[in-house]
Amino acid sequence: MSLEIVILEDCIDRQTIMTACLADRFRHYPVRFFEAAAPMIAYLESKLKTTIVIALDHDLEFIQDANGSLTDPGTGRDVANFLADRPPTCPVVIHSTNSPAAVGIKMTLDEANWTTYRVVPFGDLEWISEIWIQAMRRAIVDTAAPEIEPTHSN
Amino acid sequence: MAVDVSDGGYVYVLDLHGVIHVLPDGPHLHPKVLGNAQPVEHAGDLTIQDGRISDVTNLSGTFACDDREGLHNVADELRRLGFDIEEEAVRYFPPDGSRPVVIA
Repeated sequence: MSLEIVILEDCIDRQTIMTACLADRFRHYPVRFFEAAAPMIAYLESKLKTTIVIALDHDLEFIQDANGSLTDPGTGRDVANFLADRPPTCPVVIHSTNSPAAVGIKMTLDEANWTTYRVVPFGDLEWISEIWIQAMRRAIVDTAAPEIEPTHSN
Repeated sequence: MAVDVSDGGYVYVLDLHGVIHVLPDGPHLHPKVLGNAQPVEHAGDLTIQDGRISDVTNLSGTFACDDREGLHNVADELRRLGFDIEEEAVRYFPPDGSRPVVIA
């Protein structure tokens, strides 16, 4: 069963570097980005079991359609609230410059027994290749579990 | 690679002569460990914590080292060099994208 990496991040520049960093190490796992909370939640409703790690930003830009109308994309907290209502299935890496909001996401998930990692962005984009990818690696490597020996019955 | 390597994350390659080479972890480093497009026997990354190897994997985006026997060989060579490898530290990532497994 192939697993995938699911990320809430609406900045294209960040997405580009995250994709390159993940491909440099995790070529086995497809990466799926979402730019709004609601479609990510809808996706995770059926895909949590095949997600190896989730990464969450908090603040997202309003989305403008072709007519100029703006849509509220929600926040990473919406996804965290959705996850917190379910049994933990994978680690969550939180990357937001909005410190109070990031702390809120972490507390929400920690209280629901999800494994969380927090990354504090710095500079422009260099934090992705310097600390975010390390947190993602740690989160993914620590999902390894001992192999279950097949049982034989007569 | 020698046992006095300091704590941190590293990328490694096992060359065709059975020698392990490492660089401190960073973006897109596997092709640079040996350089000159030299082939490798195996590649991945590892973490040293408190002087012990806390994880060693076959993770590399450059070299598709998908055989678990190769990862066992790397662990054996690290032990032969004198490294202390923690229990359940050898973690194999299958090529089918399924969950990683502890193999030693």
